[in-house]
Amino acid sequence: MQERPGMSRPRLRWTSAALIAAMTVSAAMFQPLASQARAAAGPPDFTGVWSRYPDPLISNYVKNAPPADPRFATPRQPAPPLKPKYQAIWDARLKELRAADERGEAIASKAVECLPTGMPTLMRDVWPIEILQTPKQINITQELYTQTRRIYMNEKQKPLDELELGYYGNSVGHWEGQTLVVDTLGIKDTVRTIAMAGRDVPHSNDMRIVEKIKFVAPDFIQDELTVIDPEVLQKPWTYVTSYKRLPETRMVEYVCDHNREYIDANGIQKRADAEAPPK
Amino acid sequence: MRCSSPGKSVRRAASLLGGAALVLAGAQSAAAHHSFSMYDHARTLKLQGTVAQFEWSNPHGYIELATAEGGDAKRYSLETTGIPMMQRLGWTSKTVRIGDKLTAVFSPMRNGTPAGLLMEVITADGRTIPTGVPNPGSFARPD
Repeated sequence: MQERPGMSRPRLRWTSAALIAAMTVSAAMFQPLASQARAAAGPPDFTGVWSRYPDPLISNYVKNAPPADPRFATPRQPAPPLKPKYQAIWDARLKELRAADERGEAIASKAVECLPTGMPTLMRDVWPIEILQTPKQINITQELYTQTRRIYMNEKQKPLDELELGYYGNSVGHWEGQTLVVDTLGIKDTVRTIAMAGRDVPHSNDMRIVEKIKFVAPDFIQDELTVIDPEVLQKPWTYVTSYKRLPETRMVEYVCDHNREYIDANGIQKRADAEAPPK
Repeated sequence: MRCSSPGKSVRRAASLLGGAALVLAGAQSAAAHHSFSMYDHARTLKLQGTVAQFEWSNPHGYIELATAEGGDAKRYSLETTGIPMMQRLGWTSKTVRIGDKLTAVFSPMRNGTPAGLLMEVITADGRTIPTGVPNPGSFARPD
């Protein structure tokens, strides 16, 4: 059954759902860590649908939403430690964005054209992800634009010059105890990374991403993601993203086949119906 | 015309939603795939009209609304969120049909063109259905 609140009989459904959620959370607090429980049974199973925690979209639905459990909440993302040359590029980009915002315009991002967000952003987007785990391969699908990255288990990473650059790169994984360690290489520098209030953090074609994914409680996982890019960064940039399991949710198809937005000659995002459409 | 009050049904829905927050922490989807800075966050319009077109689509949907405020016929092009978000708020492709009369609550374009970002619709039978726009607190909503 899908976790899609309908508008019919809302009181019954919401109340039941809230009770179940409260019981689930209470139970979670008194259970041992999933990793401990599963240690004897081999690696943990991340299969399922997950939302970032706390859910960044909760304010779309819920007024005065309760605060997230600080033990599992996504920690604040540190600023990328950019080298001065790239810091200047990023600062100028953010200044341009703010100025456009004040004019009531928006500098277009790649997303306006419905291009994939790619790695590492898809692991920190606001939409749910779905993980399908097998012993040899783990697929992670981001609902936004139905993007899938594939992690090949127990393979050696290839040298960069043997890889074709793309949006998701080549990901290889292995288990270190109860932690999934993933190495990703081969993301082209036009795929821009999102960070904090800003966006489009620069990176080079050499960017390597190392992730450590593990359970921190039953139904909570964290991805400690490190960006290694000596050309652009003064030192590796590490941040943690938390996810909470959505046991009743199924992914919704997201094909961007009706995009009225376009980018004008000045790089400004426009709506085709509100102004003259592009030629 | 400014939106005077969100109405009883909205408050009730908000209260119910508040109770289910823990569950909803899980059931989210599409927000904006682009900036909403072209919309006037300081004004909220509430207009009655007739649905001329309903586009149930990604990355965003649209309701084209024919209005006749003060005898002045206009057609507003109202952008919604995308299918995943609306579906999780109870919308289907049949929630709104061409010819339906409804009231639209929306943030208008800053440049004055007859268009906007749809916050919610109030159907002829009195149901208030939100669209789940991102950061709703950033829009003027006289609660």
